[in-house]
Amino acid sequence: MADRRTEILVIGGGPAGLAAAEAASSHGKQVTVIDENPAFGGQIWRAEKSALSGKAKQLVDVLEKNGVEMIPSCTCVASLPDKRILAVSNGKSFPIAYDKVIIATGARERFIPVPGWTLPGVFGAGGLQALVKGGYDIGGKRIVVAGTGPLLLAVAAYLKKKGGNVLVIAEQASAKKLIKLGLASLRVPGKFAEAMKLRIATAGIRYSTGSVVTAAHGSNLLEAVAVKKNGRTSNIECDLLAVGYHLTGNTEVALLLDVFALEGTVIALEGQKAATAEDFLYEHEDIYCAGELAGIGGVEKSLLEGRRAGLAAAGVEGDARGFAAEEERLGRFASAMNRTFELDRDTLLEIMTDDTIVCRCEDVEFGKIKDCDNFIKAKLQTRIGMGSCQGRVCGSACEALFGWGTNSIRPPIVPLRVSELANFKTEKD
Amino acid sequence: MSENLKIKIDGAEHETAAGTIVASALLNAGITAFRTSVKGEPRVPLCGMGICFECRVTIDGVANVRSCLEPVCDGMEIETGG
Repeated sequence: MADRRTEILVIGGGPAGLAAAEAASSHGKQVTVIDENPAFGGQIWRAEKSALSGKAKQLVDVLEKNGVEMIPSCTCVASLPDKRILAVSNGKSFPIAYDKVIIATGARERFIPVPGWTLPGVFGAGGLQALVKGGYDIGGKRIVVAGTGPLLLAVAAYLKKKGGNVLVIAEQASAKKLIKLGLASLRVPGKFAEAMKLRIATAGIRYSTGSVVTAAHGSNLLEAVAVKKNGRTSNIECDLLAVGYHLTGNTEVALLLDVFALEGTVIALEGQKAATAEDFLYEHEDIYCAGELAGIGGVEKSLLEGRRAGLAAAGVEGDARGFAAEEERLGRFASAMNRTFELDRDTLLEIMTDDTIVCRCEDVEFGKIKDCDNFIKAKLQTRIGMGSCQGRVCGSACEALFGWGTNSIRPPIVPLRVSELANFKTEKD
Repeated sequence: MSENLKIKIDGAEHETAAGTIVASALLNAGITAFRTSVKGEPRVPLCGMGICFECRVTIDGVANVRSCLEPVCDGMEIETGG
């Protein structure tokens, strides 16, 4: 495949990436957008059988009209010298050279291990939703939705609509915290109405606050879930458990470009949180971050940051500066939201048993790592985080359980086949 | 989109709607071991979005493909449990 070159490369085709591409291409820039999924729209706009609608379709239509090159099923796996990335798509690898890059890789669910969570029948909350959107038939299945975060209501509403029998939504945040967030949402237009709409869509489903899943039971398949509230544990018989603990940014590509492409410049990382677009503009002119990877805040924040990054990358600075007030308001709500759905470490640790698997790739149990000082030591002793997912699941779990930082990444950031690399030649060849 | 495709799961023929994601088609077929873990446990997808790698299967002879990222194609042959 011939070398690709683009003025502005957007990595990630969710709300932030699409908004960025729209802004930059509408100002005459040549833009390429890549996304790992077979369809654009990201997780929030994931469509049933890939048929986009609404805002997602509107943006994609503009991009097509503007001549934006869109490459689905394409993963950024490494950073190369001279402002290039190595991408893999359909079994082939190829470099993409860029003048500027906008990283909009979004977020993933945060998973917290509990005894039995590796049983078939246990899914992520957004995970089950994605699989149902992909065609999984859940008609008549008894489902417990659990964990924490605004996603739980949306997932429960969707699963109910698709014929699932949602028994309960077990939210770990307290009622007091949720009421406070409800009040904060009144200050952001649309947020309160959105929450009300979801509550109406989930009418008839018990919303149990201050409730934590403590175990998944079953011999070969999930049979029941233990939920603890006010010190009392009840067993709920069910077919499926959809459990996720809010979101965490996909920072791998940002880390990759920081360490391997831009020596001497730093992406300011606080825990899993990459720098905001503003910090980036200040630090250097070629790399922008937008959307959930730069702080969990929802679709409006992602659209705004994406648009802003797109304009800035296109050199339309006057326009890019006009977002401060809106950004501050959305940022404030995002902080309130993230505080509401914060996890309490002691509660989580109480649930763990020595034989609870923490790393699903390497089957490493809690008892093997609980006395380690940090992630690196645990890794060296047990192989935790060294399997196929490269710590994407157990890393954020360990951060929640032990406060361990896991911000290290080395290419390729997803496992590759030799055949995928075989067609890629270096300049020396 | 109502058109049905023929796929093979572990040698057995199945029909599935066009546009279905492979992982979803496997769940519909009742597969409870997409892969076998290091210690021999059966596993199914967790994240549904290409992060956890629990859904990997062999598709048309290519091993370790994330089935949550692949739409089904007519005649596709999928092997699970590896």
